[in-house]
Amino acid sequence: MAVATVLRGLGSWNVTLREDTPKAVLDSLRYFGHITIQTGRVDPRVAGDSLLRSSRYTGVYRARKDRPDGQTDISGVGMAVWLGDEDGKGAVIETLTTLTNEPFHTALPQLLPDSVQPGTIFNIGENFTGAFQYVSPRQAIDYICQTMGAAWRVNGDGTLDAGEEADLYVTDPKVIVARNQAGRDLRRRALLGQLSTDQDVEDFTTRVLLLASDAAGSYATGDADILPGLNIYNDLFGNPVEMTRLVSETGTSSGNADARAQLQLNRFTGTRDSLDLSSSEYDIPGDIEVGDYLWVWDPEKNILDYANEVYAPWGELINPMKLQLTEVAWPIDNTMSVCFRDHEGSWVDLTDYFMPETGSTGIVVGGYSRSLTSGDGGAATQPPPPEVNLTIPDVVPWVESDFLQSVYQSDSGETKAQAELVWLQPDNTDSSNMVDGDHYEIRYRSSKIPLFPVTHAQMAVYTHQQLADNGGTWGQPIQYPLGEWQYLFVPFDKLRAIIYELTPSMPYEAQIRAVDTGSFTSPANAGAWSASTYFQAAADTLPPATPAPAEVAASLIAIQVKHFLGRAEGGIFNLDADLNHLEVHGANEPNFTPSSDTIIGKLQATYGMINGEIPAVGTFQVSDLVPVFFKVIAVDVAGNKSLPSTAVGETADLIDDSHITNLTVSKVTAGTITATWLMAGLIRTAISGARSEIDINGLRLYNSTSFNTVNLNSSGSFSLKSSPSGSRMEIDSSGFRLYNPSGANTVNLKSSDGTAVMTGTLQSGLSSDPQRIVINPTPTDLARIDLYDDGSIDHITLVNFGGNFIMQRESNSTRTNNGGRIFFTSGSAHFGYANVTLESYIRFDNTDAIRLKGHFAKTETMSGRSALYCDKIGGSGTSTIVSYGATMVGQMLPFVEIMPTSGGTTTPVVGGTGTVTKSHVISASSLTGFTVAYSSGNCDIWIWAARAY
Amino acid sequence: MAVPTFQMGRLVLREDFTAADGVAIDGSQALSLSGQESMPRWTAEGIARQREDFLSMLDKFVPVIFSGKTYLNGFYKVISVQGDVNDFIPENLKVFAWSLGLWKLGTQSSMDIESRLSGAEARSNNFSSTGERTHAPAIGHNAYWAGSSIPSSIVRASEDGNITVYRDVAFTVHPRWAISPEQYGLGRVRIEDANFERAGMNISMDPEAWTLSNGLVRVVPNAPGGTITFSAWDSGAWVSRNWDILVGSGPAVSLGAFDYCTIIRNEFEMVTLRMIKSTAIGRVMLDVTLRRGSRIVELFVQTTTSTTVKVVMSAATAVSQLPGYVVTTADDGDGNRATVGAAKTFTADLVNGGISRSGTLEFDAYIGLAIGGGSAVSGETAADLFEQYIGMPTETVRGVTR
Repeated sequence: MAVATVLRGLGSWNVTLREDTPKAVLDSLRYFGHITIQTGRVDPRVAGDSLLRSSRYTGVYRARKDRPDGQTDISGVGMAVWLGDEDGKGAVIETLTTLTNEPFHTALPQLLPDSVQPGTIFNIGENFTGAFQYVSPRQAIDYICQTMGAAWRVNGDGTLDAGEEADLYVTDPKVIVARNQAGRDLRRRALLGQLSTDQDVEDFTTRVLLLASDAAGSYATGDADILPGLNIYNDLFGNPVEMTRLVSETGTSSGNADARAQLQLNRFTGTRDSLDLSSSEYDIPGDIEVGDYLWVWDPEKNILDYANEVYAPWGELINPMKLQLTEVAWPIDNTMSVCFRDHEGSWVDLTDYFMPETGSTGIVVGGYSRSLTSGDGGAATQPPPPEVNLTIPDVVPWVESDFLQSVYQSDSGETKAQAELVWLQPDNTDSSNMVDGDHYEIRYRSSKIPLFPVTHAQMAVYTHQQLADNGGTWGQPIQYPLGEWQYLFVPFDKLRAIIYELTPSMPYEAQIRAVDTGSFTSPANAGAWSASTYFQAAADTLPPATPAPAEVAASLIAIQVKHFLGRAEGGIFNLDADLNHLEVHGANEPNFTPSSDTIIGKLQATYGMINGEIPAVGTFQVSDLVPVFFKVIAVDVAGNKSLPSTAVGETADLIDDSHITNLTVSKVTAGTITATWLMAGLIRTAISGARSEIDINGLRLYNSTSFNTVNLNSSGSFSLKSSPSGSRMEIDSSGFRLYNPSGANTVNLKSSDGTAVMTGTLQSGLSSDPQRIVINPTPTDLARIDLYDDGSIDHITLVNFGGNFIMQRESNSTRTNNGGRIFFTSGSAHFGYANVTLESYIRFDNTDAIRLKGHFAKTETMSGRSALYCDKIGGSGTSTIVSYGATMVGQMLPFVEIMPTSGGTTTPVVGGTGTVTKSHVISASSLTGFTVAYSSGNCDIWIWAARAY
Repeated sequence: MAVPTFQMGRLVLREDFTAADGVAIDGSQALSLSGQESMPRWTAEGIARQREDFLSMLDKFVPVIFSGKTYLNGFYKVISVQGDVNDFIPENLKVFAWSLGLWKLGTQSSMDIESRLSGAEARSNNFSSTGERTHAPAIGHNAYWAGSSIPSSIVRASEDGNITVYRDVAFTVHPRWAISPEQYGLGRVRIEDANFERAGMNISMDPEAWTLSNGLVRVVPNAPGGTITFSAWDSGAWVSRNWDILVGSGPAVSLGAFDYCTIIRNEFEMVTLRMIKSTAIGRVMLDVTLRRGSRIVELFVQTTTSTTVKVVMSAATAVSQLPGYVVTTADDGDGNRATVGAAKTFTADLVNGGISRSGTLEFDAYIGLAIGGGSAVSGETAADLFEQYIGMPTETVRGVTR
């Protein structure tokens, strides 16, 4: 086949020149010149360099073969060779080109050699980070495009176009390839030819593990898993088929590893469908170019995709698969022209000399034919590591804020400190990213300078000369001896390291530097040491192990403690190496908690005694006569105290009488005195505070403030005070007094004059008692005396109400008047009766008026001494006898009025002499009653009779 | 004496005395035939027509029926066709001498017909239709197999006899059935050009004198009355209605008579006719497709530039609009209802009885007749016809060994 173009590959071309080709023409064909193939005849002398871009194909001349029959074959590859050939040769990128978050459309021009100029490079909105060195531009560009999901091509005029596939190629297919179908409608063309399809799952992959190493040799891994819905295959036991593909790539940074893994997986998640069509239609490139997508449909071979629906040119609705045209091979027939452009830009027309070809056009869709694999050359890049190390690591910055420190127990039993140092990965000194780091080196030593201020107490043990000899300064008078550097190596991918075996509380300094990767031909470069970072090792905070209980032996008022410096869990002489002493504590009960109050003494116990197996022994005075329990606590040189040992009980031996001939003591502080008598001027329980005192004057009791509460004098007088203040009772020769909480004297019974003053309510019985007198029932209210009887709901009260005296019967609950009432004010005096509805009284005013309220009535039962008789009776006839109902002791003075009623007469009765108009007359009177005479008829008689005698 | 003939698919050729028979090493049975088509049995036009059809037979699956050598009847695949055209100028005689090679697939006793159905379960549509996948084997078939269950079916009376249409055929099933070679052509789709049934493709056709029929539906061009006449077989007779296809915006005009016509697919189970109309803005392409057992004819219009395409009844008839189609609001004089629909969104012309789409380069539609009108049985209603259009699979027939 004359011309083969391959997606992202070099392709190839071959033209055979007839034997009668002039030698001058043959001689003008210089290698790396360009050949162009056009449909139809063109004149290169006119068209010139425009043919490079407008031609159907432009290639680079690389080979010549003179055949035995005199014909000459010239051949070459496509324009992509200017980015790098199939062997990776070309304008190899020798200088490390680092792209950091570089936009796609600006990244690619940086990788182009002089032989290819930027064409149309689209901004696809993706940024790339990576570095390239010692790879061809084609490898680098192809790598970026694959990673970014983009495409590229080199045009015939030596320009590079790149962008998304839709930018470069036809992604809405216009061509259909189907078995035994051909045709053309207004939209699409179905190619005529012999179709063969290949489908296999040989490359089917469910997972990709990508092992990548970048240009500096750092390794990264990436992985990608197939979507579950895409894996429709099962193994013999019904499990989803598992096909993990291991992919190794160099030149892939960790940031791109996952994307590269997904990219690789996407290639293999389904069947591998490829299609070869041998078509008799030569001018296929007029309809479709390599890279364009086309519809492929072969339902009987299951090459279909129901997601697509296309009306095919042969009048059928089809569901084709959308595949990319990867290769086209076509013959140069006699309708085409071939031109050659030499290195100087001169054009030679070869149309008259080339041998036209016949045959079919072959297209490959969805895969690459194996015969052209070498022409592809587009496999993943394999950039070798750089051979020259020109980068120098910059100073490593510490992150002191993240330093961590702690202490731990070393194997020897000593407490040691450790510090975790933290730093950041540096760039190179040329500000480039450090991609070839190998390891870090850290060195550290004890520092001369204490981190905390020096005290005078610390300086007191030195002379000024000694301080000066030690390098002391005004700011740091005490300086420690400087330690030797200790070195530590840390892998480059670590940014933390722990330094062990440090002395607690000691100041240290540390420095770090980065070292990159070297080789036999290029030694590693080490960066400068960083400035020292100073830190103080953590103080010892680890307490010693809990010691075993001590052995205790008793002696006279003392005990001997002996400890074999062993641990509570067993063994002897195995306490911590930094042991300083043992604290001995004692108390009267075994479960006591050691404290400063229980400490008895200390026993020296050092690592030397442990090492020499010398027990710690000491004797302590003990005065207690009851069993004493002892515990020991181990204390290390940093002052850390262990937990106390278990208690051991022992009692010191007493001093018996035989050992005492005469005892003089200033005080007895404990125990029981069992003597039958005591002779003393003063016996008291304490010198001050709450106490009792007995002496010749009597017994006195004092409270905690030394207030004399009880005083029983031997003379017979006494005073009792329940409290010095507040609510209290006092009894003494003055009388009896009670005080409320605020100290006010509420009750005072004076012995001097018998006066009794009482504040509050005085009640003759309980509130439940029916009959009682309550004086001042409401102390804060009116002065009042209530008299209660035998359970009535009322009582009698006497009250001074605003200066007015009231004595009345009133209800218990509401104090509303309900009966007799005497009411004195400054202007009047009332005697009468009142309840909530009625009131009757006689009132004497200060105006000498006498007022009455109520109505007159006879007594309920008339007696001879009733003062008044009032009544209304009916009369009839001419007279009526009115009887008082009793024989009065004196004559009554009756007043009578009469009123005729129904049946009566209104005519006055004229009686006596003269003319007197009277309606009635008392016609008779006695001590028991009187007679009223009146005109005949019915009448009402009103009577009012008062006893006058 | 009548010249013996044999029928290869649609094509009737002269049966010669000799039929070279043989079996290849792989067991395949090949049959080589030769003969000639000549005057006066054929006219000069007839010979040219025979030649075109003959040369289109390559790679076809065909029933071959001999009038003499009936023992050779069976299903064959055409593996080679070749011919010589002899024109005797002075005598004005034409002879087309042919030879062909056949690969015998078998007979109804030894093989099945497998209908390989392809296409989506429901073609892409704007009406949320799930489609109904139908399949109609030839009249007289038996032993129908379509998976684990037998699909429901309806029987449609056609000009060739009753044809069974299976409904809701399972999506992944390729039905197999049996039939004799003699009956295989019953109910087939046929395209007649000047009253001759054509077997070829990409052949010369008179754009104004063709008939496309499957025995249920018949379509003929009808320039004076519109664009096409759609007829349906109803109660033993054809009932017809003229339809117009209009293209253009401001306003759309009837395509009228087409300039060119050819056959782009010609199988017993499906025929597609392609017509080209030259217009001021380029060309309009109309594909007319008819399938075996189908009550509808499918239309596909392509235009050069974006414009309005409309399919409407020539005689204004009120229609009602439903999702995907319109249907006449009342039964016609024969008790049927005409319907037209499309898979994609359209604008209904409720007054004239049609649908249109503006601003389009392509327009798919179908025309049908709901036999029984408002009382159509299940499978024959306008709604059923729409679902059958949406779910219509493409069928490719193969002879497969049992």
